[in-house]
Amino acid sequence: MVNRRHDRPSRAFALRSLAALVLAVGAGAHAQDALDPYAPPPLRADLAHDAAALAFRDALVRGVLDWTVVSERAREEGVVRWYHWGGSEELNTWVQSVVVPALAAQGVRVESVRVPATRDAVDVVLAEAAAGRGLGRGSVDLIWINGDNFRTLAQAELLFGPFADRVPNAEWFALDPTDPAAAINLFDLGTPTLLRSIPWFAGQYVCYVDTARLPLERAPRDHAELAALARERPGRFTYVRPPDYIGTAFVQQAVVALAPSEGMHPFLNDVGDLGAGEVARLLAPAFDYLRALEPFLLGGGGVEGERGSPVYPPSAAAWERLVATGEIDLACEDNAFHAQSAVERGRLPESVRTIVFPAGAMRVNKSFLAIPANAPNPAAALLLADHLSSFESHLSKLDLIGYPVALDLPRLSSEQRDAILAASPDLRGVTYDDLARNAIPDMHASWVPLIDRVWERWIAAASPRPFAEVVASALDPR
Amino acid sequence: MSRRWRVALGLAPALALLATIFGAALVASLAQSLGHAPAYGVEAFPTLRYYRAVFADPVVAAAALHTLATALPATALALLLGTALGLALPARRDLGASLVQLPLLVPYVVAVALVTVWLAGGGVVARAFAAFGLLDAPQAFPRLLDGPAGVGTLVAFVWKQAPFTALLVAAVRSGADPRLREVALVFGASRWQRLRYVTLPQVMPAITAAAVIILAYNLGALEVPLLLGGGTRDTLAVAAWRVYADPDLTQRPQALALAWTLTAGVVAAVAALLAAARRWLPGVAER
Repeated sequence: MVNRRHDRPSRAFALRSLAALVLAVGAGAHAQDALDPYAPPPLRADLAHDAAALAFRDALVRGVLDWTVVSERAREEGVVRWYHWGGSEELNTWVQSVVVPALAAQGVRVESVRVPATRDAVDVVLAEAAAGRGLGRGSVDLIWINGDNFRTLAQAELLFGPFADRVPNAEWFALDPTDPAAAINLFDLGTPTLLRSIPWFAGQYVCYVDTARLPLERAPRDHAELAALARERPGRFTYVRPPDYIGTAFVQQAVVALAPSEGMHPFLNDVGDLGAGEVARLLAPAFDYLRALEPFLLGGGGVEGERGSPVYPPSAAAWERLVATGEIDLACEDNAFHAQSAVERGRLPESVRTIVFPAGAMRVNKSFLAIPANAPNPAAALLLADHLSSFESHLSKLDLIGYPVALDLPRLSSEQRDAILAASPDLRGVTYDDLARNAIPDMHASWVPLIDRVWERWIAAASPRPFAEVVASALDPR
Repeated sequence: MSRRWRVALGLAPALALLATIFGAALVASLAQSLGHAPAYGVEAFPTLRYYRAVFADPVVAAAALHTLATALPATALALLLGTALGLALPARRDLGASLVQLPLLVPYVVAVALVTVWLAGGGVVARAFAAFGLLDAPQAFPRLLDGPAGVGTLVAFVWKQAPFTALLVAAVRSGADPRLREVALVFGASRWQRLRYVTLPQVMPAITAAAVIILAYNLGALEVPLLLGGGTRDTLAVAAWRVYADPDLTQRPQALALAWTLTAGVVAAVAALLAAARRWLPGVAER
């Protein structure tokens, strides 16, 4: 059974052959297993897997592995290569000063590989898989990931397998598919995680203004107010260029907030199922809005219809810097505590306040830790994933660098909840109630690359073609 | 002949390694640009459709123009400043000469960081201007970095490449026959005439070599225009990178077709530069 699972060339084939087996033997338990959408998918059989690592994975997947075996094997592996976005000095410092010593105490050296975009880690996994390197033979053990990057790995069947419910710290997460509260842990922008990733970061998109330059009462609450403000104060706003995560999120929120009336619902579907006409109809208001806004952005022409040379900063850090140097009034981040952390570290002035923008369309999501199917040190990756999922690690991350806790608070004790509340930085101008009232979930992951591509053609390249054509060509780029 | 063989033999291990690493990547990327990418589900080899798409795309044409507008002025300025610097440097190495070579030691990314610190809207220069009352506020400083003119990219390129040119020029000048200059002096040549007819022809091979290397780099550079670009105008390398970074992996052949088109363009530009140098600068042809 163990080896046969991995010899099968594809999942479809695996399901077919399992069904045949069921018909022949009449084993009802297997039928359940085969048709259950939460059944662990097999590892891709076309890759050269390390036999010992494969046996280890199999034991874990079947749930017959004791955690002491994992930590023992992790010590033997001795090292874990964790790929994570490296654009935050605070995070990098925290990893070096808190995570590295903690894992060293368990006999595992953490090599933290900082990448400018998660996409780069995914590329390494894809390239190595293309070269036939399977479990135990790649070079990426753990990735901080979500959205279209996770979807890419899931589609390529390059995820290690279900582990989120098999690590000791799984107790802090709602993971039972029948529990409605578990959806945020089991779906990553619409892609079922199938327990192949464990939540690590709770994203809350917030914007902040420098009230020394823009009084709080004039801060925009929705896109109409932002447009009016930009026209009144030309050159004092801009946003990060997609496909940067923070820039795409700004456009995503505009898409949802300005969509023709249906609210969030249509964006929970795969774009491939909607048809080009419908997708163009849903995207048009936001993209018309962004195009009309261009003359009034930083570097724009300053008058209606005159585009000028709008400046789109390349990263969230560059966006924040523009506020810090007083060139623009407003910027955003994917962390409710960002303004407070940045003020404490002297990157932003005291006068910065978080605002509610856009009302009713502030994105909330989670990002995760996932193990690729060709992780060279799967046991050490599990050990690190488990360590990073501990209450203590989340609390330290919140306390030291203001990164929000991704644990499910109802599963914590009241003392633990108090500790989190005490460690939480100030929201600097908004309340938890404000955030909860205006929150929306993230879109289906398939929208993300589409929005990036449409932005590139319709905004950056200022395509003269009709919008519907641009969307149609972005939907089918070949 | 035997010396040549010995050199070839000595270089063979390094060359073999380079050929394996770079050669394999080059062949694989060329094959991908021609439609062979089974890992991403593209199996159309051989096809020229990705190259046809490159030449049909108006965005690519705009990017090509922007690439030239970025690379050519930077190359010319670096050569001009570098040559002047190389001729002005004393033959003896001193602190000044070592300082000039400092930019050679740091990577381009550091040049980008320095340019940002100094020239950004709220950078050191802007703040200094405001502090001395030359500007009302640091924000009134003109947009140098990510404006349409691409001053930031130009400065980063020149800051790295002028010292490089100077190094080559100074090396060739110190090895040049000093008697030619003395002869010119004896025959009463003016300063300008000595520069025009003796020194410049002597160092011209160094300038040409620097021009080739700098031009090739500037046309194909990714990180500097990517980090300092900021606007919506891309160079070809950045445009190729954007396509390559698309989450839709079937776009990869398109990105590589663009990258190979850029490579062909760079090779053609360098060949044209060398041909022009041979045609009009007889001193270069002899080398």
